[in-house]
Amino acid sequence: MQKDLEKDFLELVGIKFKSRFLLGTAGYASPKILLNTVINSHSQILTVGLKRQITYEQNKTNAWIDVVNSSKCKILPNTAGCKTAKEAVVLAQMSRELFGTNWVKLEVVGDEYTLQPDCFELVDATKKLAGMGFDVFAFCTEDLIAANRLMSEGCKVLMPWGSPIGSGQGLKNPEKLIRMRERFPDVKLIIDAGIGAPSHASFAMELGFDAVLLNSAISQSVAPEKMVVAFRDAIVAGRQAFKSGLIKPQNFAIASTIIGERHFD
Amino acid sequence: MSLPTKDKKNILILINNNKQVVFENSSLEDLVFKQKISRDGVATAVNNKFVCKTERKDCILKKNDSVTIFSAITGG
Repeated sequence: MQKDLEKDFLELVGIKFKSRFLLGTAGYASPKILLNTVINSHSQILTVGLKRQITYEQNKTNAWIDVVNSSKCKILPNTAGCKTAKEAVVLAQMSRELFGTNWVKLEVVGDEYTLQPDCFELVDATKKLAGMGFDVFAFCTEDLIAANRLMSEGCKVLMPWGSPIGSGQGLKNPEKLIRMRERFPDVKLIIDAGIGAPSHASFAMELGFDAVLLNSAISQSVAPEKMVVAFRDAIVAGRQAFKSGLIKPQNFAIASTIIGERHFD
Repeated sequence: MSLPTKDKKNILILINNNKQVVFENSSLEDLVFKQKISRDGVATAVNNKFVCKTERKDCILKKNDSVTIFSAITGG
């Protein structure tokens, strides 16, 4: 089984990864903590963002981004903060220039309170970005129709939310996520957002999702460098459980010790 | 030959929503250079349209243009 897992690569847009743990880089207390967390995560994909701010020539080194660049991980830039497809397309183009990658984690938020993705704008942006050669990873809900439209427009990876961003509620709608897994067996599905505990991440992997993306649950914890190890191992455990074939829950008891006839008459 | 500085007309533009006076016929490349902005460390848009690094010199700024400048940050 161990050998099987070693060959159990996560393949995204033609690139194979050993780790199924995508790590967000925001909100750490210091670049050193971020660095140690990245190292301990064994992640091979890090997410980054863009902000409307000027980097002046004399301050062009950014200790946080230096950590990301020094990690040798694949970079997945997001379009956080966008409310329309038009904004997301412009931000994606900027990301491509700054980070040198066609990958984009497409985020278009439709509701400020829940930060729920706007499926209509996502579909519109996906169509445009796919036409411009981007590899779109869409942060979406569990809505099957929207997911189908996203794939039709050229989306490469679906990233359904577990629950609202940063909420730490875990998988609020496991039944819907199970249906999504069933309906898109050949699509790479990564649970993104809402994970709060290692058990949530493990659960997502047990359901057959391909990977998990985490940020706040680690960066906002008391000891991110240790918490990341708990999440890392939970993701591996969940994947191993899924690959090993979990038993189905039943409404009745089945004795595990098979004794045949009664011990005493 | 360029005109003396005192004869150049000024125009008002916005950089990240802050008012800024620049010379008429300045390019986006000029703006980035004169503001001592890191050329490779930022991405730019004018009036919400992306302008890539290599096209900044051909992008002549006009009165009331809105220039947006983005830098990389950590993100989730």
